[in-house]
Amino acid sequence: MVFWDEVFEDVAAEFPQVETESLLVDRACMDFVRWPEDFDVVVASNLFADILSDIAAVVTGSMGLAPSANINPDKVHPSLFEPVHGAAFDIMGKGIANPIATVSAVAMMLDHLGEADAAARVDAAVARCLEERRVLTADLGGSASTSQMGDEAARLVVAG
Amino acid sequence: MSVLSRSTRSLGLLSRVATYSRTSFQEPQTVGVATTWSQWEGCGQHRRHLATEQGGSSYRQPAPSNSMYGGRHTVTLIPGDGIGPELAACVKEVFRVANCPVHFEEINVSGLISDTAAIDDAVKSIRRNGVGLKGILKTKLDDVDHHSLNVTLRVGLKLFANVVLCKSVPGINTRHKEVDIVVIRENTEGEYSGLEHESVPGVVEGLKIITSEKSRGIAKYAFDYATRHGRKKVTAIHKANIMKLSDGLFLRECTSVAEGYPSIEFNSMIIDNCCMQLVSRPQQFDVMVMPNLYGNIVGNIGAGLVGGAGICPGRNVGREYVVFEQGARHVGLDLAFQNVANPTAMLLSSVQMLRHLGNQSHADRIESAIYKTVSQPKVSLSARALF
Repeated sequence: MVFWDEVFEDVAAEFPQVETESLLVDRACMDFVRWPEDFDVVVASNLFADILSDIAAVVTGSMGLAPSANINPDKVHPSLFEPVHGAAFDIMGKGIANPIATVSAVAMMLDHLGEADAAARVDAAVARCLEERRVLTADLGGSASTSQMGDEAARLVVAG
Repeated sequence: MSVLSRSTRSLGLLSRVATYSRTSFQEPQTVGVATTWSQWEGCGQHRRHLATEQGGSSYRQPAPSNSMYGGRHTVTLIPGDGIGPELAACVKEVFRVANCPVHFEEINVSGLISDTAAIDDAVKSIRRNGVGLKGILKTKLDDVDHHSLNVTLRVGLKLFANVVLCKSVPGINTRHKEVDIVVIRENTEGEYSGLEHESVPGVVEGLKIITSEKSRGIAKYAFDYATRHGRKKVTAIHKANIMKLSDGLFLRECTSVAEGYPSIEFNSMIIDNCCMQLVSRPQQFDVMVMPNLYGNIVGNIGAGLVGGAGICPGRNVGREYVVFEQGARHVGLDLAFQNVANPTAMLLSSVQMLRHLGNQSHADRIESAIYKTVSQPKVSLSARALF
């Protein structure tokens, strides 16, 4: 009996249309680095997911891009939305931090609040900003400041 | 034998080693990186005490082998499960062609069957010989009474340090270049204590054991390793912001040991940030020291960065015995008997073993042959087969 796997299998049985797979965490970490495109949704216990989500944030391009949500599904207590990256004291006050992770966290929050259209518009604006590659902060190879990139994302939301 | 020959011949490995053994009085050509690799280990020809920079002995290196007769070392070989037997056969064949003065005492242990006598035999054999080379033993997940035989071996022989060498290999194309990290992992306590209980149905508690003695021991090993190998920095990995008592103790011991090595830079990093940094800029790391579970994770990330579990050599070190194995410990049951597993990691581990035994010239030849083989553009291994 592996407690975690038992519970996972019980819940998976309720969703037969969803393909499932079980991996040891060391293998998962290696595969995250080598073939991250193989993964879709990953569920893990607290410490393992802490580690895996931080790897995933960087593997997708930059720590400055990944949002996260701490959700109370019953909506009895407030849910909390935040970027995956930390406080980054080493670049505090320099105006070079990438704001997209926070902006995308807002999109997750809008989705949670039931504002699906608004969330989709924010996500689309972020995607366009990253595709156009005109206004990018240093972590993505550009030279824009935090506020410039934030303004560009806001402009794209309004422009639709 | 024919299957093995096809796999190693497809790598061109056998022919290269044969060439070197025929011209045994010539110095082998060393590929640039191979020369650096050869600095990594071993003048294990005699016991010596290693002093800290401020005096006093710390870690005593094991003698190369207890069993040496007629100029040949006897080494315990445990092929293991999954791809283990294929890789062990590869090592034996390469050693045979290279005329290495090593006799393998083979002990067949499997995690797929319940046989405590075999693992006892393996422990006795390694105690007798002093040096072992092993594949990975399968640990069954669904049997709560089945303890990992790999852990049994490590704890029984007090192999307190696991060392994984994550170094970029020329010819293997990866996202990050010039990675050169040594992951040193405490091997006998931490989250692998195997102490779990379910007091209330649906609520499982697990005990993570961290002791001053073992934390200090692994920190000293890491700093001694850095000193011996000319490394510049040691980074301690922890989660002491959350696990204030256990990881806090580990971090305090590392910091205290660091004071005895003023010329080695010391810093610490939280495990999640460390994983982020490893994936974005791995070149910032040199030697890393950490408790058991983080070592498992960081070692595998390091292996993934340089090309997979089939690349990195590793070893388990105690004060009296040393057992060499692949750095990233995967059984590879799904790859077994298909002739696709990459033997590089196992071969490099056997090279490390030769250096430990004092057979530098044989080690140089085999290592050089491995590097030349892997760097050939026409030797293509599919990305998956690099395992």
